[in-house]
Amino acid sequence: MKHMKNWILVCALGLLSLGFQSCEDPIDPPVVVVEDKPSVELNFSALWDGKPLTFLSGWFEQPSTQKEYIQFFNFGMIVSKLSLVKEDGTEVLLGDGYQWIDFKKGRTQFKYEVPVGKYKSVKFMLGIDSAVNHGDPNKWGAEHPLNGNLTGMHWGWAGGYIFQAIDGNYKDSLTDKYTKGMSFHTATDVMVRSFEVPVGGALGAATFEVKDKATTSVGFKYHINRLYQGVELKKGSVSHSEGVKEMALMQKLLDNLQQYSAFEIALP
Amino acid sequence: MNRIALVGLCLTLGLWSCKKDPKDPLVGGEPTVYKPTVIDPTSIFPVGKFGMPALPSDNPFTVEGVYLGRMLFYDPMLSFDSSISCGSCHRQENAFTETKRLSTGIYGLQANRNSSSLYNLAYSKKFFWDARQSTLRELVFEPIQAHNEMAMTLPLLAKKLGRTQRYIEYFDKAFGSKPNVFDMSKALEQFLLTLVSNGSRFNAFFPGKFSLLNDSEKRGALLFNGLVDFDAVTGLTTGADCFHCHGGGLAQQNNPDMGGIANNGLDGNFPDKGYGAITGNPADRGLFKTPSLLNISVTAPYMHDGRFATLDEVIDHYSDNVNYLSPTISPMMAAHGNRQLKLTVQQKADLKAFLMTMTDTAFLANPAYANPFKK
Repeated sequence: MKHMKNWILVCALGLLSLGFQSCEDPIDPPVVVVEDKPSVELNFSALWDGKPLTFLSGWFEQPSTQKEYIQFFNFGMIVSKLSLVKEDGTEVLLGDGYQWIDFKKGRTQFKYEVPVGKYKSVKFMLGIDSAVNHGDPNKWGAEHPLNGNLTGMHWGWAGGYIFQAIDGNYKDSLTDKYTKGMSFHTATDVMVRSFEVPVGGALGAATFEVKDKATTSVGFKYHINRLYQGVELKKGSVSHSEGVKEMALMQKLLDNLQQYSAFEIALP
Repeated sequence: MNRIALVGLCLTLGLWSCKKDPKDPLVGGEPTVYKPTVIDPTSIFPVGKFGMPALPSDNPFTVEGVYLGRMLFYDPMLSFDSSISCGSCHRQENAFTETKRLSTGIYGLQANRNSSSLYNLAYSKKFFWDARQSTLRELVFEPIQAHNEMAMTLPLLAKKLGRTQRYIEYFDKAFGSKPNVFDMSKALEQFLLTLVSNGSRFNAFFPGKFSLLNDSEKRGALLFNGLVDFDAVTGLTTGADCFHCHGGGLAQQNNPDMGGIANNGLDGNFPDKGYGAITGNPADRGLFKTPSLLNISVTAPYMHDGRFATLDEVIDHYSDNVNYLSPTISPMMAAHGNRQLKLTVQQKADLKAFLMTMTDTAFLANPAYANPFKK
């Protein structure tokens, strides 16, 4: 019976150990910042009409000609040249400038060491430059945002990286029993877009300050409903950035980002 | 009653101790000292192939650890009646799966799903068809203990290992420990992580060297990597859009949300809820981990329940029989306008020809992965 007790103890320890292991986060934090350095923390959030986007639950109403209802499955982005712009126009690259943001996984918070000072905007490219886009995806480290095995945002030899992936379902009516697929994958060199998002909206009058030995939190809001302005899914719910019709739809979506100010910098 | 149970247990243990171990070529060397030989991971994951994966930091590859894992993988001692090993259902010649629809455990008991193939596991973060495990060292405990697979208990396994000379020797060499189930799982993890398949013609072609393919394979590659686009006149699609879920050099999508765990339109309702049974989310019902297509020519039967006996049946499914009314079907599949691809006979043949280029014959016969008890 003493042995029996030992066995039970071994089993209990084993289960405890397994419990600890299952808590491991499969995605490493992208950047580690020493605590007492001046730093900025970018917090990305996806919103639909000001409300947090949810995945695989709820239907978001798309006010097109006839109402359509969207359920999101996946929403990720690859950005490059991610920078802060100082009051005097100096640009500060954040890390190596690349980042993979995944709203479904909650990979949305990134901390960077930056010089102290006042900053007036956030700059980035949605997508990456051609050389990197068509370069070897295997050269990136296991946890790097451009590691295609990590992100799944790479099409292999066929087309380089996916810069933005939005997948889900839609219905014409909430009473519809069956759903239809929606898949918008932004890719190829011609779809790369640059953005500068001013603090304080279009007036660009505000700044945020990074002080020594402190972290400044900055909210980056993506109003995804604005991406869908004027888009009727029943006329086109798929674009993978290739082919005349799908390219035109993707151009429209990307134009909406700029035209309807889909990005907003929010201060604490 | 307790006394009777104890006697029964002792008898069982006694029988085990009489059971002859597999041929043991490894015993009888010099007394060992714990000084394992560390293996450089780049020798396992060469630059220019799939890149360096994220590896467990607390379990570096060692010659001794990998070899111990290999012995354990092939040792029937790990099952309750010493009749089957991991290698019984994960056969190298079949890319570490097997040809049965459902695997057979001890006493002829049947497993619930088709045996998963095992290679390039270092690039995955989810394991099993229902993606329920996140690490290989956790994974290995499941089939060992499953009542319809190896049906072993960990305390009894520790005892069996502890009285076997080759394991006394190799646990000491690999971990500086006496045989125990925790280091056993780490040794198995090491061995499983070394199973790398990157030598197929597809992998040589992968950056886009079309000169390596014949005409049919080239057409198949374009179908595989082409988006679904129906010609207005002929009604034929120029692409089959396989790459979204089976893309890259691994021929596999590892991001669960990008097709890595998906419902591929097999069923309208779900006798096996798959990932949905793990998460409890109705939206995940009928979702299963998307397998790599490398070595697909030798991994029949296909799907989580082994329902398709041949590659032709698989292609027929995606071409003609996708259930678009399946409530949780992948958005990327439903995005085709819920229209069957209706590939032509020639297109199907081309697609199959391209899939056949994914066979890595060197991997299937690599002696480093073979049963060490067979000489």
